Amino acid sequence: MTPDNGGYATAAYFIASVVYLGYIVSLRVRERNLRRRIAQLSSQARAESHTPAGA
Amino acid sequence: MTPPVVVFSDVERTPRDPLLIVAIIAVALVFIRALAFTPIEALQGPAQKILYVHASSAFIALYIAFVLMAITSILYLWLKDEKLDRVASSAAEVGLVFTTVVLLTGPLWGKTIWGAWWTWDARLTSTLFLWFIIVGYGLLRGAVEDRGRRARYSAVLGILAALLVPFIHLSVYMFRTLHPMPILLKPSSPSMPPEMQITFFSAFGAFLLLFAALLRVRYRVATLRDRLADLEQERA
Repeated sequence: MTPDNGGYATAAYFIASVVYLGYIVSLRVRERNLRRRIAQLSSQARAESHTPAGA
Repeated sequence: MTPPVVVFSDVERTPRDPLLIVAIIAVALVFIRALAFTPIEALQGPAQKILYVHASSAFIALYIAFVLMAITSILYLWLKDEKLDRVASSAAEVGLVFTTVVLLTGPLWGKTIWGAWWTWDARLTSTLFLWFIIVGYGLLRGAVEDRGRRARYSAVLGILAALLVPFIHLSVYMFRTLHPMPILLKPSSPSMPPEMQITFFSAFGAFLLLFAALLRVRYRVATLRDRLADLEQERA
């Protein structure tokens, strides 16, 4: 007789989805934060280079 | 006095990633096919379907991610190219995620078939050991600030970690283990009905696509991190 263990299969697919999607979100958040920080530093550097000396 | 105008360049925008979107859709379609349209194995029941996600993830983690990590680590030690270090660290991290899925889905199958969530046999224990080594690899990279030293140390650890891969593969032949023998990756032809084979190979293809997409994004993150470190160094 075929055992009734469909819940385990569903749980495995659910866990895999959570792990992979969680990692995708973490990568996107890290990338966004890094881009934001780089843009901030670059614009600060640009602003400083345009400030006249002694101003 | 007016504040300086903040000009954000293109770098701030996180680009859309079509490869990642395609990979997510492919994996979702495979999950639907596996759960709803693939026949149920008579003896094991629906739990056998765990194989499609468990074995595909294991194959990609062990034979693609960690082998790529080892090859690029060897090449880094030889050529000292930072790009190779970025690929190695990206492959290690993405491989760790795939191994995590392997270690989480395996016990669900084990509980239904063996009646136990975990057994300390050679295959399972060595895979868990590799998982811990790759976690250590990540911690090592976080702990060493100097980029050159970090790349060198982690390349050595990456090569040593990858030495476990052939051991993990052969462990089911070398030791008496509860883990099933390979049903696809073996010298003789695969012992699986064609419909299940289609699902398995589709799952493998979809996860391979996901691996490539994740590796690409992770490599981009590593490049941005190095660029930020350079900018911070310039300003210091």
